[in-house]
Amino acid sequence: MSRAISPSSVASAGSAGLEELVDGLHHWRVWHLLGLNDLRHRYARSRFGQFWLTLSTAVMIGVLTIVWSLLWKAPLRDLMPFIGIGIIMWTFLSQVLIDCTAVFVTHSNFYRNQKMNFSVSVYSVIYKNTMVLAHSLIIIVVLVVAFGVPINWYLLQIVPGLVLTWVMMAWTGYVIAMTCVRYRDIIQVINTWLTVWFFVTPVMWKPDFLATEYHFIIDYNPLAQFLDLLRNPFLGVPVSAHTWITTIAIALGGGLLSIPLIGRYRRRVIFWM
Amino acid sequence: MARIKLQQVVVDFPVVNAASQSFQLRLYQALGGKLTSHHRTVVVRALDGLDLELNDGDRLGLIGHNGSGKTTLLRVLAGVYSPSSGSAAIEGTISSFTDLTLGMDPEATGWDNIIFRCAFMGLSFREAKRLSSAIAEFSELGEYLDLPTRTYSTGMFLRLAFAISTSIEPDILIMDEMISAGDAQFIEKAQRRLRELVDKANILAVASHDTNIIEKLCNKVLWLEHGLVREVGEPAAVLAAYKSTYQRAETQRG
Repeated sequence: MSRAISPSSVASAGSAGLEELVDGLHHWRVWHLLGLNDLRHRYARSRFGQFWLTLSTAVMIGVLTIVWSLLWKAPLRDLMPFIGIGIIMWTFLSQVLIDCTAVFVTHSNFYRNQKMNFSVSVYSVIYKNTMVLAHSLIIIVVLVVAFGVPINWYLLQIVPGLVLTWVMMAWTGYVIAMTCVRYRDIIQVINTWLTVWFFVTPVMWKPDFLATEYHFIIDYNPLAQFLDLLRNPFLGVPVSAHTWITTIAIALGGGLLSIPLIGRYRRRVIFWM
Repeated sequence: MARIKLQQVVVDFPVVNAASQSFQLRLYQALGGKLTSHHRTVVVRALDGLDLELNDGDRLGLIGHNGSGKTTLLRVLAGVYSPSSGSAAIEGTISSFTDLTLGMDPEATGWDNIIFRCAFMGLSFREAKRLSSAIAEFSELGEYLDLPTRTYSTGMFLRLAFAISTSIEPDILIMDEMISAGDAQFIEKAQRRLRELVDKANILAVASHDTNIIEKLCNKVLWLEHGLVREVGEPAAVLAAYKSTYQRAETQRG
């Protein structure tokens, strides 16, 4: 099965992979509709519709942080915005990865009957979860206003931050979706892994709770870096140079590595479904 | 202008069962476990070196028993499957009528579904809106279009799917068995519409077990057997050979 890896074969796989990702973007109507369908189905025929998203997240954040602040005797004003925005951003990051594990199987009937770029599925997942995030923006606004979090120019960092996150999600999501459709066990691995990952990422705890010698847990944790990238702008805090460098390196470097991989295997995906 | 050129097309399906799909197995193999005898991936060869050239005006009928590779070939023509080896060059827009309801959502209204299905077939939202009144009229669904399609009967839903799918004129039309929808009266209308679409398409490829349909629609017939071309050519000659072999097999079995 294995073919020799030559520079020219990597280059042609690379251009095929890039074409796959770019062509998928052009079918924006399809991923827009696929993403919307998914949301519509979850909340079809319910009175509050998609606002259950906001409601359930708000309840969870409220209860969790109150319990937390009682347990640790920390002031709510300190914890609530940090944990609240953290949970929203963590959900965004992890849910995209989780959704991608099953998306090719879910959409398999579509691909068997019509020629279409598989990246469309990945984009539909990112699109859907970005819309969920947009719904949660109300909670962020409430948290920021209620707890007097400074609103300043650092907020603008969210624009490049979100773009970097989307780029990272595009290639990570595709690679995960492709791997999971071939090796179904990986679905479980990723789900378990993300649960563990949640605890070693500063979502429910602040980095200063951690002794400095353990800070590598955050510094070398890609998801913690993306979490800071998305959370800091709303806390009125600058994104650190370390976070910028790590997230740019992951988004672009990972993309460069995975594009040839995508190009090499994209034609096999349909046979694994 | 539409053109299809297949050269030595081979399509292999890896048999991805629980065992070979499992990462555990790969891990055991990597660790030098006892399962190495299962290492070789099992493949089913659905098409085995097929050559085919279709140009404007060609109406290809595909015949053959179940498992002969008809559907696989149609999916190669639709661009869904890429050949495992060999080459497939397909020029022209394609409508594949293997699933007419692709993109439709039971929770959405009939009107919304018209837009959805059209967008899945590659139209812009504006083009879809422009077509929607004609589609609505053809479907004869009237005020039902304002209701979610989950409230429709199966027949009504298919009527809508048919009306939408046949409202776009492709260069290449691909069908797995003849499609139809609705009650007797609607079927007649649907067949007329389908006939028009077939006549306007540059290339038609249809697979069917019904030799009458093939005889009526096609000017070229391909008889597949075990992923290989058994015979190809004029409908009359190929169909006659097919029927006689088939009947002989039937009488032997009977």
